[in-house]
Amino acid sequence: MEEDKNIEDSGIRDFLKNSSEKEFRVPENYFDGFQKNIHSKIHQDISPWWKRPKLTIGIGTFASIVLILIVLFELDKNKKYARAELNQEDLIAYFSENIDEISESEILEGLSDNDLNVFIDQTHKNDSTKTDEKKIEEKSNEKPPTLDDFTDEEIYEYMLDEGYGSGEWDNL
Amino acid sequence: MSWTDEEIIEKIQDKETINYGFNLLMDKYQEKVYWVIRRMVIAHDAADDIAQEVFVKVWKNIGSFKGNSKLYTWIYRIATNEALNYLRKKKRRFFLPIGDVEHELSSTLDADNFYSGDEIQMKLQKSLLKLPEKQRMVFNMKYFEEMKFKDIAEVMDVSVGSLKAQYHHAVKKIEKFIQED
Repeated sequence: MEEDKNIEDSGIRDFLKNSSEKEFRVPENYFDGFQKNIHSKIHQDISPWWKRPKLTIGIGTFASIVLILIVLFELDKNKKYARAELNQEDLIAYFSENIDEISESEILEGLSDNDLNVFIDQTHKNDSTKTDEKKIEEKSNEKPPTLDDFTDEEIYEYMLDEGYGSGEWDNL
Repeated sequence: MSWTDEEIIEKIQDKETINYGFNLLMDKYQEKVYWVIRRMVIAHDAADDIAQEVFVKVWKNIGSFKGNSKLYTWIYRIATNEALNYLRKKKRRFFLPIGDVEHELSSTLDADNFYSGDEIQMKLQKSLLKLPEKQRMVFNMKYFEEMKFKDIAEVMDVSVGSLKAQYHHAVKKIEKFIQED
């Protein structure tokens, strides 16, 4: 105890001489219920983990996030499969076979503006190519005209234009 | 009957008497622990929460208590650490500089329903709040709890010499604050 008397703190003790003893208080019977509170806290801490409210909320949130991620991942995977497994030929074959089951509105829904523009351009191109081909074909099928293809009047007019008089015709 | 720390530990270490032993421990230390914490954090509600946390920690770790230190100083060390952590968290949470913590605790003192000190006590308490936290802790344990320097040194994990120096400085500062105000 000797060591504890080394430090002079009588200034503070003198200052507090005229003061009341206890400055801080506690609620009535606070210490009587203290042990009960500790025991319930300890019990809460050792209760099964799934019964702890904070843990339950945490696990619920984590599970929801995982579920959302799985759904998003699966959707993305399906999209990849759809793109990867069906090439253009397969798609064309599928749509050709099932064209009756697909309505116009469904086709329009599936087409983007870009697809439509490409389609329109290609249709125009095809049309103009077809017209040119038709004309060439018609030309190649054309036979040289014979006198039977013209009327007498047409022949007469032609002769006059060429400078032949009506008297000269017999010499031809 | 007053139980010694050794007897309490003996009860706790026996599986059949562990709960009884822990109740004895709480009987002996609940008030002491509460007051050490209360003088540091000022508000009753905060002190209550921290004191409960201390005993939950004691319960969880009593199995690993080897008896290298006294049970009494071991419990006090947990209590002082918890109180200092609470004050640190408070500073961090509200980005408070040291001066503002003092101001905040001083306001708590003014508004606390469970504080009934007179003007003299209030003046001393407000002077105490101007001390650095560890110095305030040392002063509280020595002056109010009347603990031995040797035990405080064990709780705070410092030498007795430096502890005496800290107490001396704390006393001088408080006397100065009291005279100034």
